[in-house]
Amino acid sequence: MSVFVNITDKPLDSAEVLNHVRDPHAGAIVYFGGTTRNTFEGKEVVSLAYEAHPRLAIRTLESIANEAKAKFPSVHKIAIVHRTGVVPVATESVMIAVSSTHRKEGWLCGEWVLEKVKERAEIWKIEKYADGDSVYKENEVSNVLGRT
Amino acid sequence: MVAVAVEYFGPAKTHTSGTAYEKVELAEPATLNTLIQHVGRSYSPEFAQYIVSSCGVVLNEDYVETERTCPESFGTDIVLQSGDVVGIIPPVSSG
Repeated sequence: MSVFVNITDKPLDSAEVLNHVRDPHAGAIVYFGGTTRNTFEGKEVVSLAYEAHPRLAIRTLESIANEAKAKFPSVHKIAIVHRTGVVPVATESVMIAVSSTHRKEGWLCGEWVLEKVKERAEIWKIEKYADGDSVYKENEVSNVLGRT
Repeated sequence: MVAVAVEYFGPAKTHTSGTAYEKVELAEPATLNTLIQHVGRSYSPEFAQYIVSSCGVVLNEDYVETERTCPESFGTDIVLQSGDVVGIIPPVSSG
């Protein structure tokens, strides 16, 4: 299978994600891991917590991966995995891996997939601060009004 | 009466005191507009405005396209039937 997508409340495993895209026809594997950063605008962040629409989000990740395969013909396999629940600092909430014949398309595809995930995936995060405050975030590139 | 389910995701729940799912009965003929007016009365006009100006709306998990200039004209062309599930999809924040 050339596309693997998953949403899970378990900690993500980068080795597993890389193995989903490993391919003898590929000369490159490109990996992105989005991790919880410990600050936001000067405030100390202790964790991010994610929730997903159980069916729409998976459908969207699958669409993005399939669109990416059509757009980047020398890409062999794509994996997108997103975690739900609390994600501590320095830990991945999302992993994207792409295997490609040559490295250039791998990098371009990986970045393209990430931007589309941030724009469309029906997943929401709450940022939790050391002072006890928490707030829902909104991605700059979010687009829900233009969705079909 | 038309009985539909409504699902609130992400920051939409800050307007519903945490309610993520509810069943609502609406008088016939019920449209998405009928539901938005109901939501505005149940929770707040600000929430109805937030849905209209910022949120995607899915009907049985398909996104709907509708007039978004104001709550009064939102969803008047989308008929609801008993058993329908409406999802409120606020601006997203994955990754």
